[in-house]
Amino acid sequence: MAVIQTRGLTKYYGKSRGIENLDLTVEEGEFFGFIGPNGAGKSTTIRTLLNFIYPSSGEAAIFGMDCVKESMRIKAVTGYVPGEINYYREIKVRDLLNYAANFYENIDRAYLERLCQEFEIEVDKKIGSLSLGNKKKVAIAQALMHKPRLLILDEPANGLDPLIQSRLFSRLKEINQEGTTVFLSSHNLSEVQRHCHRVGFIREGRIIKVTRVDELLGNASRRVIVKSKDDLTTALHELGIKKVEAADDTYVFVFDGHIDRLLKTLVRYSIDDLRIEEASLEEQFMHFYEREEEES
Amino acid sequence: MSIYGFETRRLLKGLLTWSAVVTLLLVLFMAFFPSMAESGLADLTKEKLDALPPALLEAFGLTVTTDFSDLLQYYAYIAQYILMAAAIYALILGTSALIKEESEGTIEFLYARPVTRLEIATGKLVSIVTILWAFNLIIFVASVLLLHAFRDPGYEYLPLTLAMFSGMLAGQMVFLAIGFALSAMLPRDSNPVTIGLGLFFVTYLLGAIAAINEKLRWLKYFSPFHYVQPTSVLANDGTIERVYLHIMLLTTIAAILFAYWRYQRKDLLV
Repeated sequence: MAVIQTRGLTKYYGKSRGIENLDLTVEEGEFFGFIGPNGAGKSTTIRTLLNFIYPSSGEAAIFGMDCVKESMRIKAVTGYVPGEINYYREIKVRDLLNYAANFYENIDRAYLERLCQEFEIEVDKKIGSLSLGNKKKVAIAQALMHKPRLLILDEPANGLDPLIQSRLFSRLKEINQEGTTVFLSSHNLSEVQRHCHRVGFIREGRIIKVTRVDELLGNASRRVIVKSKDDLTTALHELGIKKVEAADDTYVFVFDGHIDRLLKTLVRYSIDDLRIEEASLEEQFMHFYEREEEES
Repeated sequence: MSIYGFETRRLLKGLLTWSAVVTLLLVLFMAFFPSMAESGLADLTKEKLDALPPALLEAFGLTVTTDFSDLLQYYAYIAQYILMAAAIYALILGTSALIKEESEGTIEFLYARPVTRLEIATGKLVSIVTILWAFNLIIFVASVLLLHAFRDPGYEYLPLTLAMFSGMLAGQMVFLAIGFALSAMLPRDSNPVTIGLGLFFVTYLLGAIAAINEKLRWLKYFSPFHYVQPTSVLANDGTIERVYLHIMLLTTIAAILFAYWRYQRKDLLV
């Protein structure tokens, strides 16, 4: 059964584009990654699904319920972690969670307590005094407290320290295995690759590709900057790199093969400087894009 | 806790502040009454005021017959300023009601719950009405206590005070409803306080112009403040013109219905 289904979903803000003709299907039990650069339309999609905004045309359904007409019933079984956490600043965390709990029937208080402990939530502090990471933890607890069948997360890892991040993802994996469908919006490809089953790429308001994660080739792309007085052209050709920016002995390129191969190739030359960093999403995207085109 | 309970509790602090400040003003103003009544200060004021053109007097809610040594006439004059504050408070309450959730982004919390927009709007409307009525009750009680303290034995003040307050509350409801309607349509970055102040003084000014200029009399219909001005309610033995009552009732209902209709369709942007 499709948990999320959109057909021709389009949203314009006045004349500016939000999303265009979005067709998306997420199946029950999936861990779905929704990836794209900032401004691509990820949040617009989520806000349309949750009826914060009305579609300009097209339609969307969650669990077969219409996102505009049956939003209330959808929200009874959906949890949402927003990208930016703006909660009532002057309220204590405990009061906020209690307020949230009041909207559902049969909240499992012990489970809520466990969530608070697991994410080390300081329930007696006021929301306004929390750091972004700590606010995010509250947002996660309020999204999970009613044991939703669908969980929608908009960039949940932003601002979280690595420990809490890994705790969050292991908790997400756990509830996913228990049957909750997870819809994760992100601009971090390696995060999505690590956790998701399927991934949808969105760019400039349009879905460009939906694919199984294990069909994505290779590892996450890296941006490599090498400085060398030697001529590296043959070496780079050997590594299968076609697009290189070169200037003043410096070569910049995106590499998505095995790091070991890169190093073993470069070691034959005299290298003055070497930097390997995670490629920006745009670069990964372009790289991914070009490869797709080559293959087809 | 329901939306209503949560909202009302959040507005409590503001209510206490507004009530305290307005009550303090009331006490300060009323403290001048004995000297007005006894030391002939009233006569002096009257002479000065008589020198002004009647039209200008009317703009200040006064007439040539206004007698500051009379407790209720003195109180009604002061009550205009209380009404100004109350009208502005009502506008701010109304304008903030829905828009604040958007400008502060908290709507992302609230509307992610299983609630309809109808329930959100209703919870907030009932909550701001409660707060406004509580505010009026506090000011009313303070007024009655002060009037009681300064009255001469046997001086009857309660029925006319009640009439003035009913009028003032009706006027505030109009401002509250108009603010609420604005709240359902304005973009999220609007400032409720600026809008409240601006809107009040524009309508007030129109009413004042209408009082001064014979040819622009019709402008008075744009100023709910002038419909229920305590001095004129008092001068009319506690009655408000029927046409004003109808306009107020219709405007309040229309503004609230419009707010519901508009909020149902609004894109809630954060």
